[in-house]
Amino acid sequence: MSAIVSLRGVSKLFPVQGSAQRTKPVRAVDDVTLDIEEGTVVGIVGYSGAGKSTLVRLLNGLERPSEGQVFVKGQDISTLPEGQLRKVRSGIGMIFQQFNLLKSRTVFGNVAYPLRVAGWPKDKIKPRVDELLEFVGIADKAGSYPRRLSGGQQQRVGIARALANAPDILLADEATSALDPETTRDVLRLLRRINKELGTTVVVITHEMHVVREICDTVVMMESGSVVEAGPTYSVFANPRSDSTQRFVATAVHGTPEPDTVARLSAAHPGQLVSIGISEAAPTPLVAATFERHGVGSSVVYGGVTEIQNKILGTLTYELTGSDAAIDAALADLGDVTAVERQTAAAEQQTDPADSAVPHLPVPANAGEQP
Amino acid sequence: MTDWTTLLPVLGESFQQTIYMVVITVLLSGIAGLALGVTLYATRPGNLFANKAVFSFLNFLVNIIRPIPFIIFITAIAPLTLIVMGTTIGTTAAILPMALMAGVVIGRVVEQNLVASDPGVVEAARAMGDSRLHILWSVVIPESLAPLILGYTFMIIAIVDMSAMAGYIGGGGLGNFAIMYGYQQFNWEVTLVTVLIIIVMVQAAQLLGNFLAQRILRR
Repeated sequence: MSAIVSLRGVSKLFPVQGSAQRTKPVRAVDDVTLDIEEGTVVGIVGYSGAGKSTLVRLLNGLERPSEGQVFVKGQDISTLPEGQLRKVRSGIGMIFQQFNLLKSRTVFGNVAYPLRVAGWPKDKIKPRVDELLEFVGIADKAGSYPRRLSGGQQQRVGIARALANAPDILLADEATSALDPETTRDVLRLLRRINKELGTTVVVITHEMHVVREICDTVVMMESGSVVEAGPTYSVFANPRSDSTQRFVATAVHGTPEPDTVARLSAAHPGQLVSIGISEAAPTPLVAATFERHGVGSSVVYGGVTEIQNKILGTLTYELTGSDAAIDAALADLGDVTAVERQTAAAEQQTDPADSAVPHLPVPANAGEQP
Repeated sequence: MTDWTTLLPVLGESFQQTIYMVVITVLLSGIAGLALGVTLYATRPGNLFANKAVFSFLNFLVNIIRPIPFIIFITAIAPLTLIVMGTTIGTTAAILPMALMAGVVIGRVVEQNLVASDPGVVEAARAMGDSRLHILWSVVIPESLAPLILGYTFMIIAIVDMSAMAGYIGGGGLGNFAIMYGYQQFNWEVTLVTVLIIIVMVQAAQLLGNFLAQRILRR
């Protein structure tokens, strides 16, 4: 595999608008060096204002870098004149949160537009548009105007339009943020299919971690214009290093119970409550076997696991029964391979929950539910 | 009793003069105003051809001309009219001040409608590799077509209004007719008939504009 897009020390500065006195320009993107591997699905994640939308616009030259270089398929596009930049852009598809369809044109007209721009002969346009609409599953809507379509259908038109010139790269700028959960799943599946069947490199900008969990091979975390963390999706989810990554991961992976949940759980379950990080290194059979070996009884009372890149990840809270010594020994064994956190109701113990927090365990999540 | 047998041919001629002034002015100012409005939109900071100098200059020009009362504007540019048209009196001479003033106002109307359009589609077209000029022509204008038609309808009516004032400098037309044969001869019947004709013209223009805009909006 090789990098299809490379950023080298890229910064983008915007002058502060409307300020009377000379203020320092905003660094929307700050010294980013990044490689995007050919044929992968990459997620760029961050809060609003983290610079991810600016970053994605640097990839197709909609914005020019203030500093550094952007290479697309080996070509430095940061200083290309507009005319040549247009050729690069026609080889990069882009879809948007608000779909950005031409309301004055039909679905057919929208998908045909980039083909006309690229100078396709008239008789080749119709079969190509039909083929694209078939691919995204809205062949019956060719004559409709975008206003008549649902959000999911509009985004499919956007995707068909973005794929028209068979791009090697597809940029998705918050493409599912305006869609309901079910439509989001359909669109994500479509993006995955594009990546698998057409070999298109997909760059997904999102603030929704479940989008990353569903389709991304690698993830890039951005904060105030900089990349704070990057790596294969599973390892970033299993081992989030920065605070903001931990907060993001917690929205998509089951974590430890909140203090009030712990209080409720301890009222219902007299045994020792322990949260165990479940991962490739510590899958559920290993946890169960460890408890059994030490003669500790265990039952899951809270949490859940999910699959990321076909690997298991999550947090389960067990109620343990047995002698204190046996429990201690079992937890010591598990502590060698995964995160272990004893849960005690805060009201009784008066301990600061931060003291007991294990460094790389995801912070309390809203994702957990009681079985 | 009004002598319609002698007045009717004069009314017919005045009607033709009004139609002539309005049609020529709408054509000239419509094209010039579109060019001005699109240029104002495109050169606005942050837009496709962002150019502070050009934008500021045109913006200043529009702001200077627009507030001048039209009757004063006609006399103020009389020297220019003399050079361009060879005369300052008559229907043809009235067209220059009308087209200039209407062009400036249409420019502003066009600009305002384009600025209100969705910048997302422009970005989408740029991302497809479309050229900026082509985007102006085949994205920006078509996407704003319905409000543009309503804006032009409004301006056609304003031009009918202007043509009545042009009568004052010997431009002829219905305005001149109403003043000469109605107002100055205390003949309310003539004034009323002229006003009714103008109302019918304006209504027809408005209905046509609404109809076209609705057709576009309904898709």
